[in-house]
Amino acid sequence: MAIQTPVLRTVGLGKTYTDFWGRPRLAALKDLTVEVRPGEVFGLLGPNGSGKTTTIKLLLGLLRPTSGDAFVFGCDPGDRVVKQRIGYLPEETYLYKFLTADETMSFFGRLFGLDEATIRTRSDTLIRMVGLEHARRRHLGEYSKGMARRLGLAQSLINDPDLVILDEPTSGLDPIGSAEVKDLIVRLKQSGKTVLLCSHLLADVEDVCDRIAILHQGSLLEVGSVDELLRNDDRQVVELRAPDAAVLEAVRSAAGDHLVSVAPPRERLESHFRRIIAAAGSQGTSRS
Amino acid sequence: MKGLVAVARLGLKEALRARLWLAFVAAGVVLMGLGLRLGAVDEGARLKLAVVGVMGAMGFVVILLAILAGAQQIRRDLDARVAFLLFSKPLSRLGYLVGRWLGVMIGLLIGILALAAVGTGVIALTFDRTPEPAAVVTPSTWERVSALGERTPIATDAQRQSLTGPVGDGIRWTLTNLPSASPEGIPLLVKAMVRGTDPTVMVDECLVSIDAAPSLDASPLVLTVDSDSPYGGSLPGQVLLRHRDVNRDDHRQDFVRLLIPPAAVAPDGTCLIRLTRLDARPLVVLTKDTSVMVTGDGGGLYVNLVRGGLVLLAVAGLLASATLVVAVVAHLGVSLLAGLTLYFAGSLLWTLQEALIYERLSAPVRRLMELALVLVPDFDRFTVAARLAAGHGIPWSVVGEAWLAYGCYTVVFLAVAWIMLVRKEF
Ligand SMILES: Nc1ncnc2c1ncn2[C@@H]1O[C@H](COP(=O)(O)OP(=O)(O)OP(=O)(O)O)[C@@H](O)[C@H]1O
Ligand SMILES: [Mg+2]
Repeated sequence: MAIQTPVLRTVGLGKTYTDFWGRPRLAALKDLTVEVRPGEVFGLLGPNGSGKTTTIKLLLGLLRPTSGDAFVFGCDPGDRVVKQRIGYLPEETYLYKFLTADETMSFFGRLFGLDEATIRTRSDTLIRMVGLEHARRRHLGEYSKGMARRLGLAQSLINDPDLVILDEPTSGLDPIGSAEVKDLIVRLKQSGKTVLLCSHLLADVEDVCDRIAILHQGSLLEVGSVDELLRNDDRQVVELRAPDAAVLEAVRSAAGDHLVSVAPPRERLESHFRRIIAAAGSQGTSRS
Repeated sequence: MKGLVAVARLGLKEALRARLWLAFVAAGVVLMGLGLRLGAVDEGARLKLAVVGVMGAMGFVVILLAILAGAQQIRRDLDARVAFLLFSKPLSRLGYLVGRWLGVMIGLLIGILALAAVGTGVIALTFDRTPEPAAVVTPSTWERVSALGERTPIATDAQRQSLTGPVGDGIRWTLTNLPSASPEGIPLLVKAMVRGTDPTVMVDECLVSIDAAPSLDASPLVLTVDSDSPYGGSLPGQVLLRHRDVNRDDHRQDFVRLLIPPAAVAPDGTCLIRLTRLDARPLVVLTKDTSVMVTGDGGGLYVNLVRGGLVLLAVAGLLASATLVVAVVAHLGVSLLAGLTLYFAGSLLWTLQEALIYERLSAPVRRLMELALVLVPDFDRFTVAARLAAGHGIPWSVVGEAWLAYGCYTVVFLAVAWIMLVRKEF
């Protein structure tokens, strides 16, 4: 396989916020060097105020670095050709309250220079995908936080971007929505897109990301593939299907001192929630 | 470019949904109320007031909205951080700014067209007729001519000339670019201030003769007073001028009407008009621009209101761009204050001019005021309301002149706003 240029590359990237007079106030990001390769889902983790959003803004050319360089598709982040290929969902949803969902989609579509037909077909698909067909003609001023978030997600994909930057995409979404976002990220990856994901929901990150970087107070603590970082070679998990007491006893005695615990696995709350909501939904539709 | 159009359309949609157009509706309602309740001495004066009212209402709404709309939209984008999302798209900051400005301008233009229609309608209904503003050609040069035919140039900054000396003295104006004459001739309007030389004797009339020639060599043709002239007398070859103050400028009432025969106009539209004083007692005061003029069809009232509105729109464009500059860096309140301040400063330049002439000022203050006169745009330069009230049409050339004069400022302001927006981080 030919060596591909990384989709995102930062070299010693740093940002120090200054006050009105230009005096340095806070080093929000220090000496960040990472690469995101094409087709990868890359997670950016870190506690509040660790510099995740700052990094994203630097990569979008909304902030100018105080040190180092950032490259997107090998170009300067401010380049309009680059922006043509990016979809971005900000950490809070900033949209025009006086527009409807349809109008919002076509406004952003026009910013990308898309023609009306393309805008219409794409926004149909995207609005259906985020589950807002019933509200597409309502003004966003009437939207709930989660609905606005869903529309924010839809608008970030109007240009069929090669790189999708999602800053806490699941904030404000119900569990179904969060799960759908996760599915969406997987689908984006399958269709060859690159995704940069910021999230505090570590389980989500673990499920969908190929590689992650962990920031703390503006410094990079760790970067690597999820498997590498989470793998624990000291332990092994053995799963048994429908074991009876005799089988369990045999396992216990065979394991001897190595045994840590034997217990039925717990379903994860997320999959449980999704299952019962799906069941209730199908009941509801069969009743009506 | 696509982004620019998208932003302009967005601005229009917002103005519509935020019901900014209600300001225009309110102005229209006020106009109608005014039209019904106008009280003035005679119908001519009431008609004048009505025209001034329409232009005034238009100016008020257009200027206020120009200052408000753009600044408010930019401020909202920055404060509510929609700008993050906008500038993460391939939208240039210049495209964004110009789009915002253009959105405001197009919205105002629609308002102007609507308000001009309402104004014309109200005037037509109230008065059963609409004034027909005339296309006016004023003289390009003038000179004094003695009884013996000697010509004396007049200083370029002189606004008035009085004829006092021996009978037979006169003034010759050169009119250029006259419209092509119809067979019955081109209507010429003449008025003057007439005063007695002896303050104890009341004089307000003077007998003069007025002739016209296509060139200096051609023999002049004496003009006769038209039958529908409000005054002027019926002596053949002579005109009885009545005193009219400078500010009396109703085409229908204040001017003697004469007809210039086609033979007195050169093929290139040049015509020399000479006024000769025939009466020794009165003193006749004449001006270069307002004593003699040729009028033609200036289009209907609606078209002229719209052209007047376009002149206002040029002022509005300047104010909008200036407010945008401030809005990029300061709060909405500060931006609005800045826009209004600029408007008042530019409307009060004449006070500076008066102060410079009449006050004893220290040199630095004087220098400062002179600088202000050069730098601050003069919003009183095109007095469209007064022109229309006087029956003068607003030609396209005035609209063009206004856009040129104010457009320079607008371009500079937009450029400054752009530089500041490019330097801005989000
Ligand atoms: N415009 C700004 N001016 C000054 N400081 C800022 C600005 N924006 C962010 N910061 C500071 O920079 C640091 C990093 O902020 P950033 O928004 O990148 O954090 P984050 O990792 O995205 O946090 P969160 O998880 O809360 O979204 C914080 O300490 C924050 O206070
Ligand atoms: Mg953040």
